[in-house]
Amino acid sequence: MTIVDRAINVLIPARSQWPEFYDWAHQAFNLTDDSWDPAGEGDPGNGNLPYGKMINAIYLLAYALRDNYDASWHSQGEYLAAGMAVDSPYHEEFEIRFVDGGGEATADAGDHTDMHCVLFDQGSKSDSPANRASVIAHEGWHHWQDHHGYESSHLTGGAIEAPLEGDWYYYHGYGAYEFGTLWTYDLGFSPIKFHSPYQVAVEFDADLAELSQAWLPEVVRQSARYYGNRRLQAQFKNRVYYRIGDPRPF
Amino acid sequence: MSPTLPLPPPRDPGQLDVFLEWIASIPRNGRGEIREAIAQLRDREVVATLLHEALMSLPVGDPGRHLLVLAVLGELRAPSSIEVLERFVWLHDLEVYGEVQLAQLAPCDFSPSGALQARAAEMLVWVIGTDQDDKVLRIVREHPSTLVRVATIDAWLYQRGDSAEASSTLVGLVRPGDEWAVGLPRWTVDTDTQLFHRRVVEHATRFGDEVELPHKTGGQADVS
Repeated sequence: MTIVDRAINVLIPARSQWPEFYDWAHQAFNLTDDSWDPAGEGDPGNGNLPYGKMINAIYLLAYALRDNYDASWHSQGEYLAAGMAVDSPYHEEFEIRFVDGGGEATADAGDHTDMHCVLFDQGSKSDSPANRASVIAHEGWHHWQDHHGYESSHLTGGAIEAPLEGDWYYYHGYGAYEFGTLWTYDLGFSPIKFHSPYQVAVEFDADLAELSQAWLPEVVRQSARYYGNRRLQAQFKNRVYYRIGDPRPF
Repeated sequence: MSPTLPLPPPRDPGQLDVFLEWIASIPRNGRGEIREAIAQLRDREVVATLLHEALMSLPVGDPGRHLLVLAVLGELRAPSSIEVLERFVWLHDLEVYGEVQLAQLAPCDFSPSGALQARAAEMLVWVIGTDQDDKVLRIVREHPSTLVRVATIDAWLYQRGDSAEASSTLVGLVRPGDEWAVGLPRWTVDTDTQLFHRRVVEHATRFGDEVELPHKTGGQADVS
């Protein structure tokens, strides 16, 4: 287990102490596919295994943000709803599977998301609960695109760093989205109100790094900033004119 | 705080691991405790040497641990770290991450290229302060990674209180095409959201912010 996963894993009570959370996570994220059986489903508190690492990420999505109406990009409940696999204004129901493939994950055919090994391989470039949580929100947003009839393919070119793929960043300022309205969009507004998958992921990274609960381990905050700033620079076709966090040690 | 708390100063790699695990467990609102513990460390060069060895233990096996090593090095501000941090900033991605992590990328993927080097650049500027500008400005002008250059520009300005004078000076020093990165607003816990928004819009107006409308399934662009 990496140092970041360990910092979260020790905060989550064992299944025997908190079965309600584990049962809810299992159902709300539809981790019911057989592919999770050999990946630690029977040992959900084991943060060394993919299923337990999903639990760590889900814990962050569900509890780590400190909603600040005057400052947060979006509320915790919105990122959570986007990432959850149940039917909602965001998308229709889908299932989340543990199936290897290229990249971190894929959301295909509108009915499933595949989480790939790189999100769980010990010490890999993507193996952090902060990143895994933002990937869950990102993939959920592909289902939002399907549900609302928008193209979900990523883009290349512009400021996107080859050979990566990315999205447009539809910057919205302070107050553009009331809490509870992340699922909405408005193309008749200037600038348009719309979100792309990487945008949702980065806004989650920013809120996790800077507007998280006081109990969140410092190492998670630093990890969220690391992933967010890298994606801000490399995975948007237009330039995004901000950075996450102050450039200081702690 | 007791002189022995929170932990004895690390004197070997095993004790350094314990020290890093302790820091990793500290909640974000306990950052002052981390700073205080590092400020009270004795034999700082011994600790710095251990951290240098940990930093240069490559390829990276746990990016989160490397982030902590870099942060502690920055907080420690040992003079000997300047050379090590500078060396790390200029390392090639293959040396930092190894071939496996940089293998062929796919859709919905992440590339860590330059990310740890960018954090090292921030810590280098933090240790140097406002001295030895030649080392920092060389990164600003010559580093091949945009992420590293942008992080260094940001850190250089932060050290100078983000003054208008420092921004004006730096605009003339960055490589052509990087002017957009001077004075980027930061999204932080202390952000004045209205001021942040104003500065983002100012940058967008000055350097361009054209986006394409999203496409409906079937290839049609939506119209507003």
